[in-house]
Amino acid sequence: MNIQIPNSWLREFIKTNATNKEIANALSLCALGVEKVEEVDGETVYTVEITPNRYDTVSVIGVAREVVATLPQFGHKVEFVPAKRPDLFETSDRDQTSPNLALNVCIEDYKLCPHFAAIVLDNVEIRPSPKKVQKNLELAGTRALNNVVDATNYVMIETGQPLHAFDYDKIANQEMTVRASKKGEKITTLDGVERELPEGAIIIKDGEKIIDLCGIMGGENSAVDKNTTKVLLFAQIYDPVSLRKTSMALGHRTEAALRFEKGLDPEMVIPALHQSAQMLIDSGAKVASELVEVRQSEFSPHNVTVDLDKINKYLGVEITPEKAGELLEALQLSPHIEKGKIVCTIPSWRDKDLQTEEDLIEEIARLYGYHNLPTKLPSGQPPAEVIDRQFKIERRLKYLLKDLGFTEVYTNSMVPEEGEVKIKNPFNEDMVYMRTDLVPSLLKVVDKNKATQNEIKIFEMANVYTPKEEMGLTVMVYKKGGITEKQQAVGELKTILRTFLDELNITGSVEMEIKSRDADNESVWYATLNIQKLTELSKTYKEYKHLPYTSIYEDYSLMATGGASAKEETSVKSMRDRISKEPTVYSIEVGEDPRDLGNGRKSIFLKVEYNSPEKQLTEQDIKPIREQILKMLKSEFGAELRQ
Amino acid sequence: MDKNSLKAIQTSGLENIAKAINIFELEQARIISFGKKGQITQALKSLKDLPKEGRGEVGEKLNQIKKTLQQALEEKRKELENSKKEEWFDKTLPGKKPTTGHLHLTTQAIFEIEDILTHLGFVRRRYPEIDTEKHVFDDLNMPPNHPARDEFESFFLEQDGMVLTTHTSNGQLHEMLKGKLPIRMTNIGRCYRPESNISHYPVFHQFEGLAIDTNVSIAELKGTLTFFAKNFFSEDREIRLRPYDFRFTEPSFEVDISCGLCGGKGCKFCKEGWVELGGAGMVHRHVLEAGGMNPNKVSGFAFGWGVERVMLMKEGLNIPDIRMLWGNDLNFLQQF
Repeated sequence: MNIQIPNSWLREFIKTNATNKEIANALSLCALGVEKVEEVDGETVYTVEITPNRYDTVSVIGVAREVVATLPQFGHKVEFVPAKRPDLFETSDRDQTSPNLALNVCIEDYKLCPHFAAIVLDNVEIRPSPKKVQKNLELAGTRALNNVVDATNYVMIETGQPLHAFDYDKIANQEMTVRASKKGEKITTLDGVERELPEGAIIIKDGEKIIDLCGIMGGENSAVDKNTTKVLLFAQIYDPVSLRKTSMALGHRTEAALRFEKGLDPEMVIPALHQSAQMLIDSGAKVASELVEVRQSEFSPHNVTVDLDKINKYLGVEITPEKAGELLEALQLSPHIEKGKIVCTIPSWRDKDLQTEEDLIEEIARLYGYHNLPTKLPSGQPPAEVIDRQFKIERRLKYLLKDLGFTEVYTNSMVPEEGEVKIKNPFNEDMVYMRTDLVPSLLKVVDKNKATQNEIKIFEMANVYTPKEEMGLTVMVYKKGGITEKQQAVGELKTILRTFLDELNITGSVEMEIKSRDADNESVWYATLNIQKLTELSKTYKEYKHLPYTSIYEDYSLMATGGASAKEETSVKSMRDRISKEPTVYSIEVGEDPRDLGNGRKSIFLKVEYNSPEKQLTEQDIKPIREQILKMLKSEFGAELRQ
Repeated sequence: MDKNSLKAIQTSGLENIAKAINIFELEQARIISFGKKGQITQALKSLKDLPKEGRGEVGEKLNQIKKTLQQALEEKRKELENSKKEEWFDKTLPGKKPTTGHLHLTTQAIFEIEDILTHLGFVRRRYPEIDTEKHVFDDLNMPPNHPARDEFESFFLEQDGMVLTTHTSNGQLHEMLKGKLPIRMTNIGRCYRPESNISHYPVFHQFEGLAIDTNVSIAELKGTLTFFAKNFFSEDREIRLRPYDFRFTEPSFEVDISCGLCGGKGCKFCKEGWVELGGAGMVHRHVLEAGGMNPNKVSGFAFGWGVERVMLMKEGLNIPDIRMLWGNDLNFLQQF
């Protein structure tokens, strides 16, 4: 979250000659990112980014503390000017003529509200705040409303502790019970919105009704209005987890809620309450009750120890224990240097954030300055690994496809088509399942682009989720046109597939299926491969084969008619196995058109390579073998050459 | 018609043919001799006006001349047609461009990132995109009520306890659980977050870097990231670390790179000379423990950045919207 810190307000707490830019620089490099330094109405305002762990800096004094710690690292002198906060009950400001107003408080669950503090003021007159207060509020990004509301906001921005003001007279029976809501209970907050509460929201109920949605927004029924004369000022700490849950469930994010969620300084509750009350006293109000405080337990600081060796190890440079101690001291962490280690007592405002050794190392390192650390490459040994071949093969295939004229596409893994893995909270109705197939996505790419392209050659290599994650490669060729173009397209795809096998040195038989989506004047042909399988089959080198003579290749186009003339189901596998038994047949490629041609017919192509290591084969040598093969194909498989 | 005028018909006919430099002129020559009003045509017509005696001789002579001229025309025609072919060889014509294909920009970036990190001994890994909430959140020190686990920050699956990973950091756990040291790895893969705008898309890629050993330091993280920045962007660039906060690292850093447009002086595209690159940090002790490592014996650094994000930061690329990388408009993809 970002907060606006007016420069003049910040400088109430620091004494330094450093410029605004120098302050912003020191903060950004060593503490908090300063997003902007802007002039607003003649004043400078810093926009500071607060990270989730630094709840102690969601305030002017929190930022001031960091400025005091970081400026000296850049050679600037700076002094911290502590806030003068009154203790209302030390000084006898209390008007004895005021009634001693009562307040009955009950906290049902300390876990929800570990600290409750309130004070009642009488003789309150609702009117605008002093100009300076209004100006600071506006510069910090909050609207000035009236002296009472402004007092709560002012102190919240300055100290980080949110406060709330109730109209005391509207609290039935002067009773306040802090408890968890039941599902369905309602409250109309002071923005006029009626809200139905979930279970577990922290609320305050008076003698009759719910008057506060704690930590988020007060109720309209207890709000201060222009007739209010008695104000109950109140400061609390709430359980950050339930507060965030409620705030998110209601979709209501307020400045107060953001602070409660992050965590607060347990020792700031009372001083903030006093400061806020003082602002009202300054405008004529009088204290009219005791300080009502209910607290689970007193704050007790804890220690964190950091090993000196570990500091140097993490930084990558040696710093002296004295230097480390000096930096920790600058952050008020009370370092105590012992043998080989430093023990810090963590102040209340860093209580939750600083828990481990590494937390302290971070404090030392950031003040030392990350920019001051050396820059060096990892000096340890790299892992002794056998490199995974699959990445190499993926790269080769991609470059191969690129060189063959294909364009790589990236499509969404989340698709509308049903699959094994379903998303519970999909982004929209097109991203519901994790895909089991790359083909539908690629077909969409073809359809999207075909209006302006006659030929489309694309591929994608990506995981499919079956639900196991497997790397697939789908290659797709689209061509506009009739038979000639269709022939070209499927031929091109076959060439690609053959080239893959060759490039990856895959020998032996590999089954690959070519599918199509066919229309009158266009066709799409595609094949999908499993990369892991290809990797397993691939070899680094082919085995050398002694082939002194040139091969002769012959292509056969066959039609198998099935029926009684086939011994069993015509299978291209069995056909291939049978043919390879013939002499001088060196290699065979067999393919089958998967479409149903009706009447049990199948269209099969056959590519035979003849080779002999003893002599150069000629047509004379091959003729009898060819005839033998064709005879066998007819009698055993019912397949004949097409005309 | 005397001998001389006959000779003249042949001579001038042959001259005209010889002079022709193209088919058009050759045709003109032919017309002069053989056209309607051509010399040969006229001469043949006027034969009937000649006295009977000697008519045969003139006729024969004319036929000879006719043959001679026709032969000359044929030869010349052939000659002109052959030279026409030669003239048409034009070596200034551009060659036919071979159709090259295109690797997707994201692939190009991934290969580049992989090569830079592999150079430093980082091993390329691929870890699950679909993973347990434990590995994606709990083991990375993000408890059940952490904002990152909200329904609008992550994609949850119907199968209980499973999510689509929002970052490649889940790979840190998978690597550590292998139980081997030292660790130096990069997990590059798809991540998922429910957000779509000019700089986000629900699916995107990240690359994770993880190094764990007995003496890994912030200085070495600086060195690794500097090496990356100088090689991926340009030699003159610098990086800086600023304090930040992540659940799975301690200390945590935001990493900036000096602005490539203004050289670090400050311009409207950067913040005072710096541009945000991504997050990094020293691996949190709870993460080391979840991975079965002892935080008192080893330390590590980690960084996880967006592939598309750093790619779009390259000077000169000028792609305005990240969603174009997923739009699969071939006219777009084929520019690269």
